[in-house]
Amino acid sequence: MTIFGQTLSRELGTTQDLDQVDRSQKWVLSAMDKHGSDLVTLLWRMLGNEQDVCDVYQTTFLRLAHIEKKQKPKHIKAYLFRTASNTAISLFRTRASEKKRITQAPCDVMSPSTPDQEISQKQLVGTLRTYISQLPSHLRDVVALRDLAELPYGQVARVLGITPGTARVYRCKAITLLAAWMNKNDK
Amino acid sequence: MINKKKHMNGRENGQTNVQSHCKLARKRLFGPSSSEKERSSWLFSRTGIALESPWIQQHISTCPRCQKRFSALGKVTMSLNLIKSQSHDLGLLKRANTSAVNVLKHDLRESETAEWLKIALPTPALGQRMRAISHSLYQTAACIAILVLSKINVFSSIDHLQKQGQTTVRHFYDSQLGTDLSDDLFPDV
Repeated sequence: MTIFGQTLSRELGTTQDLDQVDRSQKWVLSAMDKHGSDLVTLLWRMLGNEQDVCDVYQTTFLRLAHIEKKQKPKHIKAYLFRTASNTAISLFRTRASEKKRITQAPCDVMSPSTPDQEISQKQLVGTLRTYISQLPSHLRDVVALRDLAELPYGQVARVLGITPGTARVYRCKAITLLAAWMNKNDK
Repeated sequence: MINKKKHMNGRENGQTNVQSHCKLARKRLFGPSSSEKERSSWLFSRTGIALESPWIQQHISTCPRCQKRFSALGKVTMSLNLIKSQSHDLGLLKRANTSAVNVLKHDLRESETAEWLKIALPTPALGQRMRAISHSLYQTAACIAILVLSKINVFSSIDHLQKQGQTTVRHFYDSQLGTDLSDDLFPDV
């Protein structure tokens, strides 16, 4: 387990009595089996780093296993996707601020773009990831679930507890905002 | 003076027209569509762009503001597609499962499911797996449908129905116009 995972385990109090966990927690494994692949895809697209993906994945299931009253949540998929998405965003932000502090240089996003850099796929993807992390949470969740996890609008709505129409509107707002930020960055 | 007024009015109308086109293009490019047809094109385009309309293309070619908007939107779409196109290592699920299982309690860690999860590989969804053979499947289904239809005499029944219909219409014309005219109208029946 890496430093990030250890920190979170401490936060969650995993050193507490693990035997207190309900015996029927086999549903954690079946959730892992059922949603693991989609979750890994989402995390990979959000983070783009294998070690980070493993850390966030671990944290997500750790939280699920140590959920309040150790009871199975009503909608496991929603719980997993939202927890993973939020943890991934906070990790992404931590990494970005660490990078900024170490290099003492402005973030990639703020650097003036040259034609060469524009072509750079890595920069484009990095910029978009940074901007996605800066979106308001309700818009970010929709982009993460719809565009990165490629869930249909119906499922996105069910996970977020909104209507499919609202999910569509949020996605439009998010894309508009991302496009405006991309435009600003070019200038 | 009157000419100047007319010219001004024309300019204002032109500006309003461009602005309304801008608004419409913006709606089409960014906004969720209201009608069912638009919504379907919205869904298919995935990015919310319904570019098939010629007026959008004409407008974008002349409006610098919409060009900027469109290029920014294109950049977002391209970046999203780039993110999606970068596939992860095949063993990533295995490693992630192993790390997650290792922090669970002992009896869960030792269970058969956990052992299986530690060696699990990502499998594409059924729809994706079927995509490769979907074309041939559709063709086979169409052939079978035609065979079934001919087997249950649907085609001959349609012919029979058509003939009966023509006979009925001929009888009607016979009674209304007389046999000579109906012979001219329906020589085959």
